[in-house]
Amino acid sequence: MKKFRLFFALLLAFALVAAACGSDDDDDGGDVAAEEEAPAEEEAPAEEEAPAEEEAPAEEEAPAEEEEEMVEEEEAAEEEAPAEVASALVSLEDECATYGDLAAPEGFTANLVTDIGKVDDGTFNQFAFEGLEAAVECFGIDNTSFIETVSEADYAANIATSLTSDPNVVVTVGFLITSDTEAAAIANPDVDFVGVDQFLPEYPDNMAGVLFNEDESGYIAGALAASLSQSGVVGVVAGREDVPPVVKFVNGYTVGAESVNPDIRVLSIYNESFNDPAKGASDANQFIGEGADVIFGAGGPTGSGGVKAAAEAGVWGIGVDQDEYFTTFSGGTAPGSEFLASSAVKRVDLAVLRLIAASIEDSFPGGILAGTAANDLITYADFHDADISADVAAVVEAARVGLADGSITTGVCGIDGLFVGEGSACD
Amino acid sequence: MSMGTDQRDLEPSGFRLKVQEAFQLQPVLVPLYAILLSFIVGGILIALIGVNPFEAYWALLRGMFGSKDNIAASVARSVPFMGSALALAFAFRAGLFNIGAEGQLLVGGVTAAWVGTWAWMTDTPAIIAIPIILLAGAFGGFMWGWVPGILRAKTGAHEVISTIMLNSIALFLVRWIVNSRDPVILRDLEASVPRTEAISDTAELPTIIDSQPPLHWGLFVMLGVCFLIAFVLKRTTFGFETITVGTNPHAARYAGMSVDRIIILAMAISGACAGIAAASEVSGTNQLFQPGTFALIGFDGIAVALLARANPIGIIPSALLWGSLLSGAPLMQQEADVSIDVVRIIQSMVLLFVAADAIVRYIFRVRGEAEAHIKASTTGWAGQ
Repeated sequence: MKKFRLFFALLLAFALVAAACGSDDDDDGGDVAAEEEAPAEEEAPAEEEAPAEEEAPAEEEAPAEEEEEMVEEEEAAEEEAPAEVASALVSLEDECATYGDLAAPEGFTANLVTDIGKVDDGTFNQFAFEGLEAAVECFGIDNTSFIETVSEADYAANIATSLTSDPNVVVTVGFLITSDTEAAAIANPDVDFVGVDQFLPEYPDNMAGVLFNEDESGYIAGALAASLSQSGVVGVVAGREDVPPVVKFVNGYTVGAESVNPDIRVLSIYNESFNDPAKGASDANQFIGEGADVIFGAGGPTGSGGVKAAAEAGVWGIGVDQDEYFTTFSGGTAPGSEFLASSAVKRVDLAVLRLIAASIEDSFPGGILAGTAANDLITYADFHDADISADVAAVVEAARVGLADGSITTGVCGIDGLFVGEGSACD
Repeated sequence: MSMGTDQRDLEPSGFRLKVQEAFQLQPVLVPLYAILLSFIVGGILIALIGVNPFEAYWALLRGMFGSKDNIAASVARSVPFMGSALALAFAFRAGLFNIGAEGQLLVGGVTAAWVGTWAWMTDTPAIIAIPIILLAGAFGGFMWGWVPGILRAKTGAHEVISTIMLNSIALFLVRWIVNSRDPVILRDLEASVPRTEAISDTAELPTIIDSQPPLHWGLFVMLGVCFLIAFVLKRTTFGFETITVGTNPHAARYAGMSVDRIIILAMAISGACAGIAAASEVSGTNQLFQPGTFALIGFDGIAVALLARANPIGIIPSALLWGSLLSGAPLMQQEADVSIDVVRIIQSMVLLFVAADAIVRYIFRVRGEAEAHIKASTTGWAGQ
């Protein structure tokens, strides 16, 4: 009897620990989404693509066999239009190819410190890791390692541990680690720091913050939604209204939808929480009841709940941030995956690859790296199982190309997400 | 301990023995063997994922104690666990299972940070400001422990349920206090991360070694609290009453003790232990309050306390083991590519082997009766 009590007590303790881990991860994920405040992205996108001489090495021969000095790169890359790409989604291999035979010097070390989570958790952690791995392979980087953070109490300590391996570049993920990254960057001026999702009013010279123009992302989703819609009503399930990126998504979406169909009705709702898929699902069903036949989810798990509910109801869904085909729809095994039209993605992997390349080239740009359609960091995911007609695909691609070459602007203020000329912070 | 003798005829055979046993330093043999066994199992696990376990453990060991800074960081990481483990241990002695350290830490921490940002604190000398901020944290935790205590004493609501609920309430309350922009309560509007403004310089506990996280005087504060709780339990009437209530509330009531008062106070003091640990973190480590930094400290405290068998002095090495494993793990991941989860598995197994010590006794042929110790750490469940 006593033993039973004991095991029950233990079981409870473990269950609590496990539950605490689980729920905390979720909560933190939500918070990350909740707080990605990136109010000032109107800076010109820092472009550091290598020159366009595409030699397209068919397979990646690891270029760092013998010590090749860094290729002198033509400094002319500044004003360069985005490289002509066949697909909206630049593969990491293709991006690698644009760097020609750039190779990391011997002993070059690139490290990663994640936000709370894992390097395969389907969030920015994973994409940053994929970017790092691609860079390691592409540039023949000798040493690389990563640390998965388990607690907010460990951010600074993990950066410190990472620095013990004497790295040349350290990638840190998540806005919560911003101040620790900044402190480490100031204390280690010889190390380049890539801060994914990290906004600072002023960056040290050796720290780059990777941020995104969500309004362009929303615009692409809106164009897709309006061209898919038969009913002339589309919906967006969004996160918190006091988080500027969310407002940028919603307003970009509206403009994008109206660009295709000026008479379109855009239903939108903001939510109190980023972490409430059930609320997102009920929002989506509400919109479907009002006639919407495309639902864009722009609010973390809440938005994903809406997308999933829409797809399960046989209505088009559009994902956000990452290709939700692989996350929300479990790689196509979840029901409704044929109704996930696409996702408005942020290419964290590509940004990390480019910044590591810049670090190798000794041309690391401190400050904001603003992800835009122009530098291919904002785009849309593959259609996968969805049956998207060529006409619709052409409309979406046109929207993306238009945003990329500057012929389309969203008219959304980068600071607060409101429309320019309607009382936004940009006026 | 004269009272113990007086009470002897209540339970002539076991009572006095049990009281004495609770005061003794628990035998350390079983925990040590449990740790050894856990590392062996963990090593097999590491080998199974294709990494040399010796290499991994070597990296882990250097991460824990490889340099002065590593040692300092390990100790610093351990300090808050002392408070959260005490929060469990003290209530344990009163026959209560306080699962609420997580919430008591948060409330204590936010109270400390709030007091630390009071304007007049900047003009207050450190010798006054530091005790104020620590007491503020203790007070916050005290109040958050008092609630389930009074619910238990007056309504009979089981403290396990109410403390779990209060954890959630504390988490969301504190998040609102720190996150809210409209109205602004404690949020630092300059920071992109939701957190309070920095506390007054005068309220900061001095740093001993500038490691990461920094080792500060909070260590001595928490050591002091551990010894204080040990003293209270061992040498004071209140401590005796607490243990009596925990061992046999009916006997305690018969002997004229106010069981309700003891239950309320035990829960509140437990909360205060967690609160003061949170205040020491706010004051010494971060100099501000950010709710996420306390995630899991409270829940892990349950494990730390069980490992120490709710002995306030035993909590010190137990917390040091816990904290240094967490502090050393990142280097193991960096150098040997072994996930930090392996350390969590080792920690869980230590706990499992300590609790189910029949396994350890069987494997290592440790003599002695398991039952008595198990009894000591399960009175919370057996008592009521």
